[in-house]
Amino acid sequence: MNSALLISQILLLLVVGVSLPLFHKFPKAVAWAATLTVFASSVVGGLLLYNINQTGAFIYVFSSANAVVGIELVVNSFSALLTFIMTSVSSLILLYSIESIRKDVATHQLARYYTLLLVLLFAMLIIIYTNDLFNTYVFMAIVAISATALVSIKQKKENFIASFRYLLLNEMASLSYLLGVAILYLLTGHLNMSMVHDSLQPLVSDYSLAVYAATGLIVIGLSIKAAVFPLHIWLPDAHSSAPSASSAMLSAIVIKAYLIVLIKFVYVVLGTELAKELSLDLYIIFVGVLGMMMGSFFALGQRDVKRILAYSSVSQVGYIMVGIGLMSPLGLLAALFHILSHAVMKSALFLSTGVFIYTKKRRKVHQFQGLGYLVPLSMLVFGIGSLGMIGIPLTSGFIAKFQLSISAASAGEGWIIFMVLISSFLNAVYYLPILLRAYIGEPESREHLGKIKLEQAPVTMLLPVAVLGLGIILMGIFPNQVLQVMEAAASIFFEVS
Amino acid sequence: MGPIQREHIYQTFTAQSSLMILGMLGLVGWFVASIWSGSGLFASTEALTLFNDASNTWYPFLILVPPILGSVAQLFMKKYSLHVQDFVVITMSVITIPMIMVLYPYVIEGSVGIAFPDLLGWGISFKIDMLGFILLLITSVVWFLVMVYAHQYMKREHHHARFFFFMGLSYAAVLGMGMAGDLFTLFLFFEGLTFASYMLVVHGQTKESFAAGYAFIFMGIMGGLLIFEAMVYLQNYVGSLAFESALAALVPEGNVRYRIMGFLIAGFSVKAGMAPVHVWLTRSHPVAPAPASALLSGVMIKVGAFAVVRVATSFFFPEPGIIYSTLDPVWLTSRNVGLLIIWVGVFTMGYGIFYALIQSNMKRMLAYSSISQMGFIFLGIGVALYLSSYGAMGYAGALYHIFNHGLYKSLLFMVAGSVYLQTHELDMYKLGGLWRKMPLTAGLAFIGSVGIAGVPFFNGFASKSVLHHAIVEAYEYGAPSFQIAEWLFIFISMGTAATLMKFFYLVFLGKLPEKYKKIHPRLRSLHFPMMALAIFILFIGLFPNFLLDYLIIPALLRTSYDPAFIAKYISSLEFFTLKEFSLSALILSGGLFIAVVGLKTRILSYEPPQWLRFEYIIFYPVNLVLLALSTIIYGKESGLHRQELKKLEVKGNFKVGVLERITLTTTAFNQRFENTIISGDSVIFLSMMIVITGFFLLF
Repeated sequence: MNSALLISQILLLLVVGVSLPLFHKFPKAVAWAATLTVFASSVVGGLLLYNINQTGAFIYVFSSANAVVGIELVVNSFSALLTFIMTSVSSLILLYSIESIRKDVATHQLARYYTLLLVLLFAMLIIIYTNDLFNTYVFMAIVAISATALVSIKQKKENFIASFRYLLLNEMASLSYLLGVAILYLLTGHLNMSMVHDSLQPLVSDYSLAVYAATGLIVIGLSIKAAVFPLHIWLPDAHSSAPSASSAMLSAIVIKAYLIVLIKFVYVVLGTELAKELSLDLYIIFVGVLGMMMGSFFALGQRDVKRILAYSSVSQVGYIMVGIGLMSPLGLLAALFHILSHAVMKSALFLSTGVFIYTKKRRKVHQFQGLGYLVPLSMLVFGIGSLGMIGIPLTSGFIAKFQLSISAASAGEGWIIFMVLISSFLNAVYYLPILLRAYIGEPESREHLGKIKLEQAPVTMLLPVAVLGLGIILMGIFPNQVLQVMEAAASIFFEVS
Repeated sequence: MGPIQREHIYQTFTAQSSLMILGMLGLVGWFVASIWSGSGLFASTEALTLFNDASNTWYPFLILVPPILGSVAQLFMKKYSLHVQDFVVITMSVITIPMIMVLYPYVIEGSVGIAFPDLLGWGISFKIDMLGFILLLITSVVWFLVMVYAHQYMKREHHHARFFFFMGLSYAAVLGMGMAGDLFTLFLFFEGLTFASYMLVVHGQTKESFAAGYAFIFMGIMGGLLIFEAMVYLQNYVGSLAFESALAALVPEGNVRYRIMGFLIAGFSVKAGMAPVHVWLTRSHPVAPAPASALLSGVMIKVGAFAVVRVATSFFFPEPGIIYSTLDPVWLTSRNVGLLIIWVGVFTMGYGIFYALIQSNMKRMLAYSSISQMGFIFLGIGVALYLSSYGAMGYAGALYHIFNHGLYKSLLFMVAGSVYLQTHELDMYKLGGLWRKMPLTAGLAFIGSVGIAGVPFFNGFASKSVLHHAIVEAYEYGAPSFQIAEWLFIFISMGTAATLMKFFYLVFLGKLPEKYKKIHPRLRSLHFPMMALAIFILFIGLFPNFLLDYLIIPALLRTSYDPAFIAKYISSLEFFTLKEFSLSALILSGGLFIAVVGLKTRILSYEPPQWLRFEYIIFYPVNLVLLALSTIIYGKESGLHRQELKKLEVKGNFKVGVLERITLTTTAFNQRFENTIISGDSVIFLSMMIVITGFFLLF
């Protein structure tokens, strides 16, 4: 039963995705079909998650019964939860893109756009489920290529430049990751993560340089892909020039897939003890804190909202990295909650920005005067999202920050809390002026209110925006229900070791 | 709406509001009489059974409902006249007063509250005890009066509904802070208050008000973040945020407790306007509408002091019930923290009064005076912590002064507002002789001024006497260095008297300027709230023991102070003695001397140079570094970016704030960074290739 659910969750995306171009004559039907497919996949994922939490985890071996040769898909409360989060947020983004994408993408490209999206999602699901290092590499390459195509689909000059740089850096990252995997394979003779872990333990003392090298290459490769601070340079261009729905997808979801690979590498392949021995925890925390601060600093000087949001993603990735680097159940819990919370908040922010661009053609911050009254719903959600980014109570961002700070305090790393506070303050410095300008910037903005037509975005665009905004608030008020599920997911890595 | 119709509305509202205020005075009178005589409804809890279980009741929520409901409802009443809209909000806020009053018998014996352990992750809880009750009482009364005042005052301003909406929300936030049962709930409403009152500060939507609003909201957020950090530490080391003694868990952890206390005090004192972090206060007051200033100074900054009292006496005091001697090591934390707070309080007092004396803008003068008065309150809090189990006098003084300052400072801001409404002038030197034109306002201003100056039979006298007792005790039981603090206390009180003498003389006495000869102020609903406040000031001044006996001592008895000390010194405190009168006479004559000499020699109109401004001095090194950084980034010879560099100029440039400078510098950095990013790509690419080839060679 469970394996049937797993197969249908994944294959649904691939089958529909590949067959969509056949119906390119009916763009609207294609769009709806893709959306419904992702929605169905997320429903199946939800069922699977529920089953897993009831009956326990299982391993599905693909292509051969032998785990050494075959590819294992591990379905536990961690991977099922994350795939569920990804598919459900994506289904909202796809619903949004039905109308919004038609302004950015030529009609004959639409079917391709949806194929790319579905294949991207399919590859991400495999990345999350798989227990195989090489398999991860293959699907990371698929994600990278389809994401490049998604960035360049607007077919404008800046898109091509951005997507080329994205592709270049991502391929280097893949190469670096592959090299690391190759070294590990040479050492242990396995590609299966748990098997590598088991056979790596006795080898460390003799081959410490090789283990260091492999770890370094893999972590650097994943850092480039996840836009961890000094290696983030491709992100602002790629995320700000893509269509809003794609930006949301890339910023809120795709980056997270690499972070999940990093989590699996650190906790499953190396194990916390070995990772601490290699002082990987210090490196990850350091890089995370640096990104947390510098992402916010870079965002300060931006004028374009989407660039602000992109740099803010860099800083939020820093938070997640810190959570991963703490190597404690609380820290991992904080990282997982932040993955969810940032996925929801960042997609809410990008999608509402999409509405501003769609209806009013405004994307520079200084043009935001009076937007609070022109596009009331989207601006409200944008406001909720930004308050969440600052970490104001009643939003999920506050809970995430509190979790992270608590886990840092319990690990005895008080200075991290201070850094989190400075970063939050910087977030306030660049998010609040946007809100203030939108609501009280110009006294006369409301006097024309009668004459100006209110936001004219279609319902399919406004509905996901509203749902995401509501989600931020709900997770902020009732976090315990979410945290319970996450605790089960985070505890998996600590039971093994 | 024609002029006649409008006139009619004014009159009906004047009649209605006077009735409402009479009703409220009756309520307060009834409340006072019944707790004074100990009879009627407040004889015992059994006489009035509101709750089945006082520790688990939704009543605290019920108190929050009317102000929120009222402010939201009036937003949807655009069809109706302003009169009806305001009537809804004001009625809703007046309902909360009796709702709070009936809690008295419960808070005397224990507390009223409810807890939701699952909500928001760390649980929300409400708990009204005597300390919270005092805050709720003063807030509800002052807020109602200011709302009535605001109806008239805001009539000609734009966005009337928005002002009342955020006024109602701020009211709910302050009530919530008073009812909070743990630090998290307190923090929640604290943040709410920051955002809601921000909208009151920037209501004018001018350039100046936005600049003031920036200082206000960013400092508020900074304070919130500091409290957040303290919460994280408490949650980590104690495991709970409830207002209970945390000493048992914290003392073994070493210095963490000072860190927590430091964060809490720093965070809350931003709201309280304590001296190093008061910058927002003096900027916001002159630009905010008068009712907002009255609330900011009258209530909202008190909330900061209240929160400091709350966290200090709950987390860092031993459990109530057991009496520890003053030298017991449990008190070590609070002694050390108290020592610091006393001196910061004295500094705040002196700093505030120095700047208040030389102001020419009425509202800015009152704002600096508020800072100085907050110093008095913090002095009391400091003594309360420093003297350990004998600190009851400081605690009483701080609470008493919170109450009194709320009354007279909101009265004085309302006076300034009604003068402004008639003359459209805030500069005191351009006014004068207004008592002929506005005798009622002048009389009310007189009552407020003598209240703050500490004249016997007015309320300031009572609380300043208690505070003076407290500081005297500080050097009797504690360090002899507090003798200096006492001298400063008397000297600064003289300064306070001089400030208000200057204010009253310049605005209401002297020669009436030609252009104000034509104004004809009439009795409006503006005047009734001011009169009600004056009545309270007189009542407390004439019966100074009433508040002490029925509100403050019950609050003291719920803490860990020595009850024998309270019974001996505070219950039988005599205010009308020769010693107090002569001290007051000394202060007043000193104040008169300062005011006369200062006005004659024009010392009081001295304008300090711009570079003496507090924030300018503090941020000078930061600004220099930023300028140097941008110069390096842009290159010295660059003519392209002269504009940007000019904005960052340090000397003589007082317009650009430190946040804007940081933004400008990061913009410069970003521009350079993103221009060179393509070459950055190739650098990364090259180094990666070298590393990868290196590894191939290795294996």
